[in-house]
Amino acid sequence: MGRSDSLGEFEQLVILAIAQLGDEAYTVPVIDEIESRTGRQVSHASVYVVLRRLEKKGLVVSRMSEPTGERGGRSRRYFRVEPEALRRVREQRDALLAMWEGLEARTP
Amino acid sequence: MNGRESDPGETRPEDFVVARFLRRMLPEGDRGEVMGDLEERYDVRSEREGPRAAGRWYRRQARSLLIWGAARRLGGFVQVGDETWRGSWAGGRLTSSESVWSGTGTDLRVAARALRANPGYLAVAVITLALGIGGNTAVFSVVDGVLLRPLPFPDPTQLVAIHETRAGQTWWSAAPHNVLGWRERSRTLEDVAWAQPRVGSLLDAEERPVSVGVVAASANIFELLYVRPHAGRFFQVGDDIEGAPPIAVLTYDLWIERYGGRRSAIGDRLTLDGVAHTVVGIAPPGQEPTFFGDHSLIVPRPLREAEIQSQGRILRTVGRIAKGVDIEAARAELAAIAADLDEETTLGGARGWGVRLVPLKDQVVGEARTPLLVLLGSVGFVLLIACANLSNLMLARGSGRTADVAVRASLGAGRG
Repeated sequence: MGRSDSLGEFEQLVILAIAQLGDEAYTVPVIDEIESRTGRQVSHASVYVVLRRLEKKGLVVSRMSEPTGERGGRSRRYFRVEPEALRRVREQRDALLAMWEGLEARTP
Repeated sequence: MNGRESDPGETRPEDFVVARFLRRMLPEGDRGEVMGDLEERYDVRSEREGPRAAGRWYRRQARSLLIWGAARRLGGFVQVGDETWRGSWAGGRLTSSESVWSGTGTDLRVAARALRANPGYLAVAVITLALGIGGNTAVFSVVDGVLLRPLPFPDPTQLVAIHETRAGQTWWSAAPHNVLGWRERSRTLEDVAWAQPRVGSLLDAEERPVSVGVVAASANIFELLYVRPHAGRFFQVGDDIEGAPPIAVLTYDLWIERYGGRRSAIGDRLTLDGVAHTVVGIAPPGQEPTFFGDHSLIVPRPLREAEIQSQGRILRTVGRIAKGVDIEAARAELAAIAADLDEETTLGGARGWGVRLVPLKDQVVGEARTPLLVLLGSVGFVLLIACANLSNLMLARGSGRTADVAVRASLGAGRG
């Protein structure tokens, strides 16, 4: 795996959150998903930055919904993960697991 | 998630000041999505934690989104994304709004590193800016002191220099009998004072003669200027009558230089032009009548009968226009008085003398106004040229970083 294919930790979390949410993935539930699963606070700005970057790299695609009656009539931007994104996340997971192998018994 | 009904009196987040800025900052393609997402989460938080806590959360998010919005508008100018990236490689801490702000600190550190690596560019940039800014600062401080600041006296716009005119020419010097006539007859001038600047010889502490500027003035000069003494007193009625005991008021600078600022200067005697003068007071700093010329002492100027009877134009005259009277009314009245005095005079010598009032500020500035303004404009252009040169330098430097930016982009990092 070349360095140029590597995803940052936060990028991986965002990709996995979108994958978990399926068709309902827009920014608000993505943030809720990451916060509830990792226990960490996430800012909207950081998520927008990563989503735009992932979209630029072609790892996620987005579409705007019809304007909704909620949210003051504003549309939502829904995201979907491309297969390439999940392939890369799996690769990095496997690489990490490979490094962990045998360490659990020896480390506190 | 449904929109939440607001309580009456509750401010909705779209009405927050930061929300208004954010709406303006966000590009149109992002605006609806971002504002809608924020509002949705605000409603959930408001249900859970109350509107106040939700409002605080909203404002925090909006402030960090302002930076992101600016980056989107300016094409990635601020590296908000890099902070997220570095945060994850450095140890997994997710970006919070605080570290979005610290992205600015990172930008500054990157800029400092780049400048250290290019000392030539740094030197040229600094010198260019220093010349432009330094030149402007120097010239502006002169313009400010000479042209822009009012005279350092109360109600300075009421002060006028009184010129005598004849055959189309004008002089700031007047005959004593005219000066007395203006003072006696004018209702539009609250007061008129005169002075005669000269160079005198003052004995210093070692009894050595030193040339000093002296202003010999009428007793009412400080009263006309609305100035109070820093120490001691000014002249009183009768001090400027011929034969009165010689007294002197020191300027603040001379007082500090000669007496070290000691109050014992009051009552001391000093020898000016061979005559012992008693020091009666000290003028306040910055409020000496320097429009008569640079000086160190002010002494009374009696008018001798022979002077009053002569046509000699020997006195510099200033007046204070009465409150509520404008200068045009004073000009009209003084012109009429001058015409009467000219008509009435039984003194030998030519007639045809008139009078002209000039605002004292204009008298002080004199002919320096136009050259100073031209100079200010010139150094302003020098600064513009310096900025243009610096912009060209930055453009040239930017185009030289194409390879650098390409490598960074391939690693997924920003342009920084």
